[in-house]
Amino acid sequence: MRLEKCWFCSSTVYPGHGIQFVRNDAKIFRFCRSKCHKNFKMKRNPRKVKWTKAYRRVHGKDMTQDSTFEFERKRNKPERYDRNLAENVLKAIPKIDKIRVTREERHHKNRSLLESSIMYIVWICGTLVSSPPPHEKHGRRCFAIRTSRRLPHKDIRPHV
Amino acid sequence: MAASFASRCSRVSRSLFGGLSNNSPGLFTTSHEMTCSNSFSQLQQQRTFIQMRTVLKVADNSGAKKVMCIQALKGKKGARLGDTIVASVKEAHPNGKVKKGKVVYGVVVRAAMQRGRCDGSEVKFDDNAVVLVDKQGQPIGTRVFGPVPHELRQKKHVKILTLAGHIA
Repeated sequence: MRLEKCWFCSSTVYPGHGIQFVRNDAKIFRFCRSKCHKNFKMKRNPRKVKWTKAYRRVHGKDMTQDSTFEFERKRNKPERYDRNLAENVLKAIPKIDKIRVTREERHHKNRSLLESSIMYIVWICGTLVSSPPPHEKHGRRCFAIRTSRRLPHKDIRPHV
Repeated sequence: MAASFASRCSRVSRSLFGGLSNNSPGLFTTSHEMTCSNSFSQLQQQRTFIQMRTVLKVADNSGAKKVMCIQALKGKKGARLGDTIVASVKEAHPNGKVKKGKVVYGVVVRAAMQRGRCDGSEVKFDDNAVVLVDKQGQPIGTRVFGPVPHELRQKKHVKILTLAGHIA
């Protein structure tokens, strides 16, 4: 039994659900429900459809790189059954889920901070540009931006 | 690729036209233009069984290119994925093992109608295709093209599975 990912929305497809479409070049598309399947038949690009995970990742709404994603990579080698290993894995799964969820929440919080501070900077630069240019005696125009909110830590910036 | 998607857009009620609209783009481009015009009002296409007069692609190198189903050997409504059919060769390669007009048996290896698997999921393919076999069930050709389902293993068509490139 294997939990697959829907090709369109990237949610998990549990056994007994969904349709699997095999194209003639032997590429298999799995869909979790008919909504995703119908969108696929309409030839919609999941990266442009707002409610899919692909869109959210591309537009920086959800985090893309994290060490917790390493655990969900597809492994095609079967593991020899080891009772201790199985027990440890089963214990670890909810812990990893919790860590991932907290990291995602932090990403969302930082994202809203970042977006609002970017808006603020754009607003400030906009007002400065519209005002007459400063004296050319000073080589470079420098100004301190004072934001009312704290800028987020730099490695959480979405990569553009 | 685009042709097969676009041809799916038209609504066809009978699989009489089902075989025609699922064709490889090179052959039936005129019918594809025609069906595209009334496409987007009815986006979903009903896929049904493989029955009499269904034209199927041949997925092996036995010499035939297209066969038309004469009889589905099992099933009241028609054949599905993995069933055998009796077919008449409609189009063949000039020097092949089977000639046009011959009556042959075939195993359906790809069906556009979805088939339920025992784990509850459903599979469907892009087109309808057969592999020609003899009365005993041994394939006539030596190669099989395209993906095949592993439902064939349960139907004891192991030879076809060994010849196949991909098993879906």
